[in-house]
Order: sequence, then C-alpha cells, then structure tokens
Amino acid sequence: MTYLVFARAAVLRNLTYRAGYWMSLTGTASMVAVQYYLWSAVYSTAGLAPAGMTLGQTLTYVLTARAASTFLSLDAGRGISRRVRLGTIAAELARPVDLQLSLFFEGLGEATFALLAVSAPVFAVLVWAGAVVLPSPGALHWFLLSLLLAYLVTYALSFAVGLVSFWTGNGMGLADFLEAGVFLFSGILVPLDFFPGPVRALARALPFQAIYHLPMSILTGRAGSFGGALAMQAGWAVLLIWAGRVVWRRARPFLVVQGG
Amino acid sequence: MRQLEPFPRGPAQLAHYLRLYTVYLRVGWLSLMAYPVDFVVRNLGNLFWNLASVGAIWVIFTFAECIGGFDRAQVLFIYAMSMLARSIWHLLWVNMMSIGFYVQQGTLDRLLVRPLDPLFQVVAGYVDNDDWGELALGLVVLVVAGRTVGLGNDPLLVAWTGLAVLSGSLVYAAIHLAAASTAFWMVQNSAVTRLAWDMDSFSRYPLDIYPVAVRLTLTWVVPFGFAAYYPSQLALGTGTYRYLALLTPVVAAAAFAGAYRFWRHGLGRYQGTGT
Amino acid sequence: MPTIIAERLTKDYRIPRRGHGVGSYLRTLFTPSYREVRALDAVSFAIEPGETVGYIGLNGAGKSTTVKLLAGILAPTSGRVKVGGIDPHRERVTNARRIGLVFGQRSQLLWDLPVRETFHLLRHVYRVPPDRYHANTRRFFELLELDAVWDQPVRLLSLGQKMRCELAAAFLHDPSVVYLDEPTIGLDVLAKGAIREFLKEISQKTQVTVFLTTHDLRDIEEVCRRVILIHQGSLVYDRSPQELVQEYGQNARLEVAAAGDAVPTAPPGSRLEGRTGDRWVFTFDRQRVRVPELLAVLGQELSIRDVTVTGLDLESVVRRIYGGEAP
Repeated sequence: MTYLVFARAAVLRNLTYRAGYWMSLTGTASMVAVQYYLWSAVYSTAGLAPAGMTLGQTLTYVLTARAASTFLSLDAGRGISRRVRLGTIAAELARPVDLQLSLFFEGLGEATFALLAVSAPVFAVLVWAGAVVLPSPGALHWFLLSLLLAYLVTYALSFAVGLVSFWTGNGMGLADFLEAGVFLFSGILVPLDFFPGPVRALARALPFQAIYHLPMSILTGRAGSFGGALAMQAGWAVLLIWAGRVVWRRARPFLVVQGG
Repeated sequence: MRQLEPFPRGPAQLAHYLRLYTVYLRVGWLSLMAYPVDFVVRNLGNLFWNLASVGAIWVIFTFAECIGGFDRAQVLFIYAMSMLARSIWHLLWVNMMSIGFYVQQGTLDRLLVRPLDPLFQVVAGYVDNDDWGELALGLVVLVVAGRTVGLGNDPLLVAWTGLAVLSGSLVYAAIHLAAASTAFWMVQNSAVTRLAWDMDSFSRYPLDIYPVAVRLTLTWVVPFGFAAYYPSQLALGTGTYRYLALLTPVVAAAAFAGAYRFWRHGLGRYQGTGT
Repeated sequence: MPTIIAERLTKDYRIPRRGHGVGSYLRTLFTPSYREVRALDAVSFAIEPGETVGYIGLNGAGKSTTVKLLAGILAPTSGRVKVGGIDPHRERVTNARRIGLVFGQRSQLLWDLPVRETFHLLRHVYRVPPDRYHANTRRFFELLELDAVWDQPVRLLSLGQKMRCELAAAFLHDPSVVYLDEPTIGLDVLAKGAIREFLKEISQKTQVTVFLTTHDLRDIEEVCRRVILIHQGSLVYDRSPQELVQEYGQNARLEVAAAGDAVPTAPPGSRLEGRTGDRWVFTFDRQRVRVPELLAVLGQELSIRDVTVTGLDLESVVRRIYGGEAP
C-alpha cells in the first residue's frame, strides 16, 4: 500500500532524532514515577478500596495510561494546523494523494514509534517491577485491540480540532482546550470510577473515556463486558471519523479559495 | 574614540536595569498582543488544564483521608504554592530554557554585543503568553486553602508565604538555568531541559510520598523540594521539616547563585576564555 | 593612534570528538576529547579612525571569526586585539557601547512590533541622549527612508527594508566603530544601492570606522578605501580596492559551448581556465582584448554553439590571488 511510505518516513525521522527520543522516554518515565508514588500514598490508609478498586488495580490503570499517553498523543492532529500556519496546505492539497489519508499514516508512523520505543518498554518495566498486574492472556488480546481503537479515537478527535485551524488560521489554542478535556474526562488523571456520580455520568457521555478509561477497564478486568467496551470505542471512532470527513469536506473549498 | 559618560555603577546601575526591565516587559507584552485571540484561547486552555489537576486532588480526597500525612487543605495549599511559584517563573523567566537554542543559532552573539548582562537579555527578551491560568488559579486555591488551614489569622505567616512563593520561583529558575546551561557542553541539550521540565511535577506533592533516595535528591541535588513543600511547612504548622522551611530563601539564593556561576562558566567556555 | 589594532590574532576552535549514542555522549561529558581547528592564524592589521575597510574572503576563511574577536564576542587563543585602546573581550560592556553591529543573518529587530519599538528599546539600552536620538532618527528617515516603514510591523517588511532598519539600528547610538557582516546579502540592486549610499554618506560626514565583510566586490569598490583579504585564516592581501580592481577586477570570464573534445588554444590576451560540462572557460582582460576578437579566433578552431560573458566574481578573484598568480 503506497500510503505506508508516509508512516515509514515518520518512523525514520524519529529514529534519526535521537535527542527527541530520550526526551520523551525520560519525560514519560518521570510522569509514571510521580503517579506511582502518589497513588501508593493515597492507598496507605489501610483497607481503602474506593469504587471497589484495589491498589493493584488502580496502579495498573493509572500507570499503564501514563505509559500509553506518549503513544496516544494529541499531536496527531497538529500536523494539519502546522501546515495551515506555514501555508503549505494549499500546495499539498494539490498533490495527487489523499491528504487526509497521508496525514493519517504519518501520524500512525509517529504512534508506532512511540508505542514500540517508549510506551512498550516503560510498560514492560512496570510489569517486571510488579507495579502493573497483567490479566489473563485472553483479556490481554482484547486490551491490545482496545488500545488500537483508542488510537483511532484520539486521532479522529485531534484531526477534527486541527481542521478548525482552516477557519481560525491557528489551531494551537483549541488544541490546548482539547488537551484539557482529555486530561479531565479520559481517566488519565484519575480513574473515572472515582468521580462523584454526576461527573462520572458526564464523563461516560463524552468520547474521551474511549481513550484511556475503556482500555484500562479491560486491562484491570473491570469492564462489564469486553464486547460492550469495545463496541463503545468503535462507535465513537466511527462517529468521530465520520464527523472529521464532514468537516473536511466543508473546510476544503474554503481553503482552496483562501489558498488560490 | 569618542568619550562617553561612564555607565552607572552600584545602586544607579540597579535602577538602570530596573528601568530597562520595564521597557523590555512593555515590548514583550506588545508582542503578545500582536495575536490577541491566540492569547485568550491559549490561556483559557491553560486555566482548564490546571483546573483539571486541582480537580483530581479534590476527587482523590472524596475517599482518601490524607496523602503523605497531609489533609486536603494542606495538600491543596502545597499544590497552590507550587503553581504560583512555577507560574511566576514561567511568565517572567521561562525564556532561559531557550539558551540551548540561542547557542545553536548563534543568537547569543547578538546579546554579547550589547552593553548589558546577557542573561538579563535572555530572560527579559521574551514574556510567555500561556501560563496566566496557572497564576490565577494558584492564587485562588492558595487563598481558599490558606484560610482553611487558618493562615489568614497571622499576618507574619502570610508575609512568609509571599516570600516563600518568590523563593520557590527562584528555585525553579535555578534548576532550569542550570539545565539550560548544559548547552555550552552539549550540542543537543533538549533531553536535559525536558527532564528538568518534567521533573517539576515532583515538586507539587508532599515529599513524604517518595522513598528516601528520591527525597534526598529533591532536597540536595535538584532542590524541587524547596519550591513549595519545605516552605509550606512553616505556614501549615505541620510536618517534620519546619526547620528546613526557614532555610528556603537561603537555599533558593544559593541554588540560583550556583546556577548563575555555572552559566557564567559555560559562557566563558563559549567565548573561549579559561578552561 | 589606530582605532583597531590586531596583532598576530589567532583563534582555535575546539571541536569535541564524539561518537554516537548516549554512552559516548556521557563519556565525553566527563573525559572530553577535542581536536583543534585553527580558524584564524596570526592575522595583523591596524585601522585608523574614520577608515572604511572591506574584509573579504571565501566562506570559512575566518571573516566571521575576526568580527567576533573584534566585537568582543570571542576571546583570541593568542595574539592581541585592541579597539579604541581597550581589550574588547575583557571590557565587553565598555566596548559594546562604542560599537554598532549588523549581522546579515541575525536580526536585532523586534519581529512582531512596529519598527519604532526597536529604536525605542535601543535608545534605552544604549542610553542615547534625547537630542542625539532625534537627530539620528531624522537622518535615518531622510537617508534610509525609514519614515515610510516606521509604524509597520517588522514581519511585514521586505528584505531590503529590514536591512535598512538593521543598519539604522546599528548607527543609532553614534558608535565609533561599526561592523557590518554581509549587509547586502540577498538584496536587490535598489536596496544594495541605498545601503551603499548611506555608508558612503555617513563615512564622509562622520569619523566612524566601518569594518565591512561582503561577497560583493561592488560593495568594496563603492564604499571602501581599503581591502583586506584573508584565506584559510591568514591575511593574504591588504591594499586599496583600486589596486585590487586594476589587478583583477578588469578580468572577465568567457564561457564557450562547443562540440567536440579537442582542447582549444587560448587566443592572445586570454587564458584557458578549464572545462565545466560542455563549456570551455576562459578569462581575459577587458582592457586588452574584446569579446568579438576572442570569438573570431576561437571560431576558427571550435564550432561554437553558445557563449556567456560575465565579470569575474569575488570568488574567482580570491582564487587567483591565493593561487599565487602574480597579476
């Protein structure tokens, strides 16, 4: 498939930019460390099991989410706002490739590198140290599938937000908003089950839970049913991808006018 | 050669720099205002991001009684002090993180041909635009949590907290200046500056939650402990390290002096003197 | 007493030796190993007050290093430099007040703000007295047409307009010495002309010493009274530009595209320099021989398809000089 060259280029770029690699590895590792000590301290009161979650489950949930956050980066959609800001987008639209697809594969290359070179090693160390408890091999497969769906949701969300830069000329501010939303409602900061009732209900109605909460629920064996969680993620992925295409179709003529 | 009146020395020199600093700040502010929409949106995003972080602590305390021996108001107080100290550093002095970039691009040369201290030019040369949310929220949380812990009753402790926040900013400045100055020895030092940047999340919670080795590191090697945790103990009236709290301004000044010496050493190396 | 004195000025750079990977990165942090590269080798010259000197050489010849040593940015490895009687590196701040600097590639203008803001800032940085500030800005309005761009953000200016602003910014505080590093690079003919006019005017009317590095021989011809040429870190030429032009500037270059591989003999008054692609390259002296005469001779030997004639660029001049060819 021809679009794989975009993914390959992204991986190669990451391989040559060595300093960037150590940056994201040390960054991820120190965030994971802070979370580990924070949650261990929270659980130091004997017999605590909020929402029925044990320390082991909470650590597995929170630390795996942090390790995965490098791979589930919201930078994916920044490719498009960067191109709008630099003004190269009009020329790229004129190329005989589907820009939306090539951007997707570029993002996929970045994500693959982050997964294999940062997230996976950190995860492996966490498992080795006993901080993260692995479920049965069966559940692990479902978890990996769920991570893939989480990537699609992340990508679709950040792509749609990046498209807004077609109108504003600069999507950076909005990207910060998106980051705040993910931070609050995805489970990366606090497992969603810890939220008080109404906030939890709100979080369950938003797409952000598909990024961390649903995969981590599968990993910790707390998803009601694997099928239900995966179907929810797939639903959000399809909806957001569809929304992205709609916005894309509306944005395109606007951009061609602006760029022409 | 034309004779120039001598440049001011001593207190007059300080006045000259203070006056120049206001001129630089005006320039930085006008540059931000060149993109007003971007400024507003980024700061709102920053505010929500910080709200989420504070909200997380609040959520944790819906079921936990304490973290590292500190209750909700105390943990929030420490967190707010770190937000304030960090945002003051970030808003005014964050450009010191660009030192590596200045060295690589040769921009440093431009600063060396002006009759001013180069570090002054680095930090005054750019005002950051996207951390006002952290400053505002830090102030609100500090006041609310401060009242809950009974701080409002003692003007001396309020004054101490103010001094402690400024010292905390100096601690952030010292750590980031030292990290950024590695640029004089390394071609690419972004891994070091990024590590310092990410490590500052260690400064936000009570140090009691970390194992001894981490605590010692955060106290004597990379003194993030003095950014908020140690100085807060005097205001909170709890904790085992109240005597260390009083050291905060001294540690901050010493750390900055050390970082400044490291920067001068690096600069000397860049210019080809000594070493 | 000369304004600038350089005595056996030498600068070595230490380039760290390092392999790849974090391990070797860390190792070199603690046990560094270097190789020394000599950028400038025992260069001596003295420049009198009010002189306008062109400093030329190929890329990497040591031009920028010299400017950095004179401006106090770098300390020499050995040798001595005095500007206005002081060591510019040791007394960096005192020296910085007396000098102005234009780095062609590194702007000192405030990118997002109107031009006037840069000047407002510099006025405070150098403590320019109000009467001097107003007199100087008036002069810049006149000579460099700064009034037209005064209220415009720098990012909206053309390259030429930006360079005029850079030039004015370097002269704002009445410096005694001004270093100009490639001030005309990338500019169109009009902008180059304006900048040369300004430099001529200001060096005639004031006692400012101008030290100019450039790639453009015309800058030198029009503005400078003296040329210093360095090559591979050493001074190879220090005379007037008239001499330089007489010796080399009359030379032109003729390129002839012709079929076949037979090596032609150079017509009288010309020299065969070599071949690039399918073109034979000759240099000749315009004073002595004219192009039609050359072509008439060459046409007997070659079947000429195409012809280009250019003036010799600085690079070729430099190559001839360091090539050791007596003019």
